[in-house]
Amino acid sequence: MNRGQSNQLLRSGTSRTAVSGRTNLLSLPDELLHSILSEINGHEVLRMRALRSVALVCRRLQAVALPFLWDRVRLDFFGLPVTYGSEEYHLVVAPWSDELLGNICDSGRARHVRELHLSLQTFGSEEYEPTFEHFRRWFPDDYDELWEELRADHLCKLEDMVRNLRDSSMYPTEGDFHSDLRELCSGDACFEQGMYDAWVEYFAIHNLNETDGRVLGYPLSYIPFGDLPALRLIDLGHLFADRDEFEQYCRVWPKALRPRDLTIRTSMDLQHFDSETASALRTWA
Amino acid sequence: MAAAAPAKVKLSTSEGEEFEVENDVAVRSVLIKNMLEGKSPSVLRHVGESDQAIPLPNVSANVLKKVLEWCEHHKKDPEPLAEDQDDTRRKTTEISDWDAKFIQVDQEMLFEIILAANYLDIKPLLDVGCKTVANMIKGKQPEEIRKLFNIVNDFTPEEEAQIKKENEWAEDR
Repeated sequence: MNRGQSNQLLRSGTSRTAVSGRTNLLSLPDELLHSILSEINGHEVLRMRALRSVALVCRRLQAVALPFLWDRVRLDFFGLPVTYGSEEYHLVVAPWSDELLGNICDSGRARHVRELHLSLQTFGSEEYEPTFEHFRRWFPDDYDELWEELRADHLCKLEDMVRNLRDSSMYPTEGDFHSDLRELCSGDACFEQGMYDAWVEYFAIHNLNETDGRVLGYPLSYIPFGDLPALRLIDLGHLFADRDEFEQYCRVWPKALRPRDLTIRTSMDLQHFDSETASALRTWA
Repeated sequence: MAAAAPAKVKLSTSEGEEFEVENDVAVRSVLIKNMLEGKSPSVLRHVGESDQAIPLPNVSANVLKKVLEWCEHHKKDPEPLAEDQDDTRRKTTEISDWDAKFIQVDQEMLFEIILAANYLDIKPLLDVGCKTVANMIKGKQPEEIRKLFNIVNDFTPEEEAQIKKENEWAEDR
């Protein structure tokens, strides 16, 4: 080994200054630039910002970063691809989704609501689900037709749901369930929202996991509680396996997205939790 | 059948300079490991069976020296599992103190190390390099990134405005 070069070569502590030499960031092949971009971790918002900044540096980095950015923007949520340039990407649904979805829909990238098949899939805890109100806002012409299809579909599924609820401890009888369902739907400005809530509750009651819970393709783990008009604590008991999981939820979800009307009705509501968790829940509620 | 691995291996850089290193240091490189195990193309198949140096035409001496320093330090590290490659290792931007100090080099050397790690197939070292660059990029505006990496803005003002507009949803929220 040529040890004579070692002092010259080992330049620990050298400041990382920009160079005009042969090898620089743009010398790397796309594959390695992708590797670098994929190492930009942290909160989703920060990742997005960083990718956007990279895309604005120069044409070469734009070519690498922009598809990368849009690839993060998955819309397998809807199964609805969007076109950017000659490529099709999927939209991300992120915490700022009202604006994001608006931007995308207003720009015409999301083409037609009939392409939405409502295979609602998750994107992760930081992300967000559109509601029927979003559909109504951006696809008014298609909304009624879409809803009719959905309602028919939901009604069929609700019948199954009622049959399946016979063994539920939450609803010992079908009448109990219907009573709650009527309560949920009545007085709600949007019948569909009530129906939607009923479904979410249905998933919660049955403690369905991500695979099993895809009746609507709606994974239980990422229910946007803030969208629900009411969510009873007893349902939370089915959602979180233990205190760690609950606390993870509390960390991940901003307060604004927590259930707006979380009430502890009876001590029975807390029966799913150990005393420590129950205490935390009381405080939280 | 592959020959028994020699205790030391000779590596030949792009300049023809030869480095003799311990086998367990050299085999941090999957490329070299495969060569020594006879899994590489036939032209190199016998390289581990003689004192013939393994040619590394894409790596200069000063970069190889630096890479070998990393390999020496990490020679006892467990080999990463295949399934870890794209999942576990990407979950953190943390770099060990030693690696952080190791990678405190000027940019040219940093990118040379990344290229060499990629060529030599040393994924943990490649990760260190990529994470370092990613950390340099994070939190910076485009102009700051240009300045940092000495990159010329080759967009027209119209193009830049268009990209900004189309991706403004990813900006401050």
